[in-house]
Amino acid sequence: MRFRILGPMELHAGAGTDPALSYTPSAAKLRVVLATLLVRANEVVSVESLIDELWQDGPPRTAMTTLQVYVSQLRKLLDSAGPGLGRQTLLTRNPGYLLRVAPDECDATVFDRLQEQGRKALEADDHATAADVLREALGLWRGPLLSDTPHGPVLDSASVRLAEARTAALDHRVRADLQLGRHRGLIAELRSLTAEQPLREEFHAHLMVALYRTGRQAEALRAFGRVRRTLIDELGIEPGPVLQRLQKRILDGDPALLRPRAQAAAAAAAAVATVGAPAAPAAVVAAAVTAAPGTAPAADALPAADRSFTGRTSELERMEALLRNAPAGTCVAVTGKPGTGKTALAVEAAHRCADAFPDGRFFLDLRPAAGRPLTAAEAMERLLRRAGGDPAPAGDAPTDPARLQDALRALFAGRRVLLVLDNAVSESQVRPLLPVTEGSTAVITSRRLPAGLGGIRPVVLDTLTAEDAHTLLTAAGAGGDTGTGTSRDGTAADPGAVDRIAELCGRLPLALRAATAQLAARPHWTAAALAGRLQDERGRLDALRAGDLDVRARLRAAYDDASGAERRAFRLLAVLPPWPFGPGTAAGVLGLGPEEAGALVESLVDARLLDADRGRYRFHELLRLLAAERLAAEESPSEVRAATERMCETYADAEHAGPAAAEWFAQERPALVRAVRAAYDAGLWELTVRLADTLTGHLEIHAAWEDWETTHTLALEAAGRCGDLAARARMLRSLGDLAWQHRRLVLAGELWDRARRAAEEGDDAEEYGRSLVGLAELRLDSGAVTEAAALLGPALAAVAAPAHARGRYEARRALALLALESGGPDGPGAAEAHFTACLDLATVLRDRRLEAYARRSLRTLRDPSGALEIRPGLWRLRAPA
Amino acid sequence: MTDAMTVDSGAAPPELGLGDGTRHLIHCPPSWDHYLLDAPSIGDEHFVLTGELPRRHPLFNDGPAHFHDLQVTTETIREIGEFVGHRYFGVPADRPGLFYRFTLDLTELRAWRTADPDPGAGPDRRSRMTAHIKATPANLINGVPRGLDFDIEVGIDDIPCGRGTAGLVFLMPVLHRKHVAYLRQAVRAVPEMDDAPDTPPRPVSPAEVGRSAPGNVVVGEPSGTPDRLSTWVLGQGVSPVFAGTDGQVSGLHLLEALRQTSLLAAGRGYGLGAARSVLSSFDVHFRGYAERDLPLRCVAVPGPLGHDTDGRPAVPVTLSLTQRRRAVAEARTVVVQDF
Repeated sequence: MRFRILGPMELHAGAGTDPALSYTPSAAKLRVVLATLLVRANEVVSVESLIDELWQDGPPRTAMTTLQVYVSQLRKLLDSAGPGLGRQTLLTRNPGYLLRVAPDECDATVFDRLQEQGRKALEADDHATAADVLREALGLWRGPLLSDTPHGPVLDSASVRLAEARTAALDHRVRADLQLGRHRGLIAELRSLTAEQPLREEFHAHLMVALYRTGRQAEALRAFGRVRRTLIDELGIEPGPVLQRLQKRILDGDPALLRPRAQAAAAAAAAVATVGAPAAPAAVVAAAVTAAPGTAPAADALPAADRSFTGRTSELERMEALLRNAPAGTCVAVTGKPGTGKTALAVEAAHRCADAFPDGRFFLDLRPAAGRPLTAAEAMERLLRRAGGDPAPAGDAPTDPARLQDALRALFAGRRVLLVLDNAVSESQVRPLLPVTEGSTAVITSRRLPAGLGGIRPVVLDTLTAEDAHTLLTAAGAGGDTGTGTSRDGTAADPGAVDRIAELCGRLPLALRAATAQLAARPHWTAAALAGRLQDERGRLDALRAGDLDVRARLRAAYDDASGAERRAFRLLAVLPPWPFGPGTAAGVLGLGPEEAGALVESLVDARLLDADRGRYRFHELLRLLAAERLAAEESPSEVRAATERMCETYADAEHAGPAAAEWFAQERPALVRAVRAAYDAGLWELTVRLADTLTGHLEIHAAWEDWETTHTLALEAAGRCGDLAARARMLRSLGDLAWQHRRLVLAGELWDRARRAAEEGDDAEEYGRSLVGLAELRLDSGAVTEAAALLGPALAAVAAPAHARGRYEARRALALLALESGGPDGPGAAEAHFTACLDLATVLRDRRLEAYARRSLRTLRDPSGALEIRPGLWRLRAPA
Repeated sequence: MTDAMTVDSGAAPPELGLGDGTRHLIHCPPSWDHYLLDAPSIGDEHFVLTGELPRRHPLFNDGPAHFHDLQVTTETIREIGEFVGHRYFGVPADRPGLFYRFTLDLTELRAWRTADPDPGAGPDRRSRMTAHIKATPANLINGVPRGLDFDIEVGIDDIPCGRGTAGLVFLMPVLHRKHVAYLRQAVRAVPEMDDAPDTPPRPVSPAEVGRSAPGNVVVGEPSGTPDRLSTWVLGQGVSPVFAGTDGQVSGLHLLEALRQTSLLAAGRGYGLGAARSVLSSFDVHFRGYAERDLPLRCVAVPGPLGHDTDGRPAVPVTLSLTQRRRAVAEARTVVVQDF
């Protein structure tokens, strides 16, 4: 028979019978008797106990007889499953009954056995067995004990005991899983467990550890805060010493807590063998490596996981998947710009995958000191020493690459090891180090993707997301909150300042760490104070230096590694405004042809000194500051001015027309405005005017008043400096248009009048006519039609020449408005004639915007709906008469 | 919802207008496609409206003149909302636009203070308001929106100082007329729901509601307790500026009633001086029409006295306008006292 009571009661015949055939009693009383006998299987259960279990509110007079009937029915039921089974199994024994159950017949008995087995395995540090066995034990549970059967005292007691045993089994299984490095997969389950059983401190502790090991220190501390609040609210007590110690270790960033106890012990024994660290006790490491696979303790020669490691969830998931399922001969390459945390990610991933590489994890910095990287032979030699092998057996030359490679391969043969090769500089440097056998693989970190290696699986790191950057800073206490509700400086948290710091650091992990280090080193600084210091571009890289955390130095190393041509391009591109730019703009600034410039810019992208996105390029904010520093330090002022001039020329020539113009302008607007400023600052007067001319129409259409005023005021000044009267008239007239659009009527009048005088002085008929048109529009606005007419006559006469089609368009437009404003029956007819002339002129000018306006005006000439479009896209809203 | 908030397209003036100033509405096309082809837009459209703030408006310039009247903004949107729908989104001209919600938060109270109360100031010294408006079509059917959502950013004298939203719905003309007729009949067909003052309401003092002219007072002396004021909206003897159309109470009338009741509640409840108080937040949802010849009740429940982010005394007020116990409008405001 098979008895299942860990859930609703189920009775099935034994093996070889139809599993769908159930013998479960349908009567509740029968289930109570059977359940009571099952929870006390192989024990005599007294009649009194059974009667108490059946009738808790007092037994009936015929209780004894009824019980006998129930026992009889149970025996018949058992007989139906197997002839004679009833008598053989359910025995009458003074003072009651005994149910004989073999150890594997009842799921509760099996559970007890497995649970005990798991506990012993755990005690013996056989975590894999413990986890497997306990998982099997817990899998027997289908719900609360005998959930379909009424409980009396005996069943209640059994229920409590088994529930407690189940919780203990869960606890043990979670412990085993944590020891196996499965903390990531446990978080969801532990959250559920802590919600179900909020007073079980051990689950909260496991959750804190799991969160801490996944780099979520802040959440770990929040978990502590939650259980503490629960305990205080429910019981009025503080968490126990275990939880309190755990909280302290997390607050202290205890690196030992990052790794399972077994690993930590092994690592300690192996005396972490990172290059540059004191030499490891070779005997211990050698023993770890040379012993038979699977029997030796793992040589965990990795740096401790970074306690401030934050985010990178998807990248870690990808790396974990790649490392755990790496085919022979493949490896993972982590690339990204300097300071993105490539090494930290590689180390974190290696820790997470520890169980997949039981024969050792080794870390080798291929560029241990600033300057010369290790040669392949040096790297192999160091790795051999770290792994306990002998780099120079039998008197061979210790640097013979072939011998070293053979020795390395022999050492790793048949083992499952993971190599973390940090700071790789070339394919030839790392190729001989890479494991080639099944079960072993490597993680390479490098700014440039070692694309020449076969079997590369790239993981490209960018800056952190805004959320992760915020978390990193707040976990370190930048916002004033240490995560436990206390404040690092006694002030309230300042999330706004934290976000500003994150953005000023370009969300670069290295810079964020430097910022947190600054705050840690200066407790009197607030986050807002640091944000203020970082705000100044000139001092930002200086502010991001704390101890040996020097952002400038790290970025500079990447710059120094680039070729001379790349470094020059990097510097010169710093003259560009701090927004994305296209390849054409880059070519212009560099003074190169498109192909040559394209190749150079792409090589900067490969070197991670420049970012590329959908055909456009941009500097990371901090790299741009470095480029500006290098430009000032390494280029002569004349070269900087020449580059600026080329940049401005490029922007001035880049104007788009037609339907794509709005998108182009929206994309380039800030850069264009900055270019005008750069041209002016460099004393490039003609270019300043040219750039402003390029912008005029777009600024007008988009009502970009601030930029319009800035650029054209600069251009007006530039026109004066270079004695360009026509440009001066043009800028004054355009600024008048701006004031008019803005309805600064007096200012508009003054500017247009000055434009008229400048045009007169410079003999510029076009601008003279257009200035008069502007002045006439002012008169029209105030209803002075006669004065307006007096201005428009000379205006039209001034632009009569064929070369002044645009001026004539404006005069005709104003005349049409005058006709409408004058009223009378002839008004619309006269306006129609003028707008028709506008249409013809727009066709000549090939200006679709002006053409559309003329057509629209003609169509709505007699439209009674009201508002008047006085210029393209500009409507006059006037109070009713 | 109220048609009194609509632009009156039936008897359109020669040009749209507000107050005593001419203003410019600038269309800033994100794409030129529909602009060049004159095809209706089906995406967001951006506009800038700029001009002087009114200086001689019978309502907006009436009062102690410590602040610009925030209803200039509601009127701005009211003024251009329907026009934008018809002109840029292809909504047929016979579909009137009805505003059914409006929110405005003053983000920089400093700019709303009247720096230049002198009506004789020169043209370029007068305060100007600029509103950046984004219009988003809602519920497009065959490329024609049934409504428009507006996002508004207001600046006064180049200082960004307010942010708001508005919702406008365009109704089919026949449906609209039937709907109005039905509601009118429905509200009069339930005498058991009658809700009227026992005696004709007596206007409150203009100073208590931030006005000077008696004709601009639109609420009567309240009853109830300071924590729940009930007042009647005055329909008789008020300024012509509140005139509605088609027998209905105008939107300006309703908004002013809500504004005045908010000030009254904050003043009676917590002693905030109306002359120095302003609604720093305004969120109104119109539920139906209000008939001009039926009594209209306004109930205000002030919340606890608090402070805004700059430490000024602030009182949140919840209001409801009902007619024959039927909801006309619901609003939440925050009254701030600023010295």
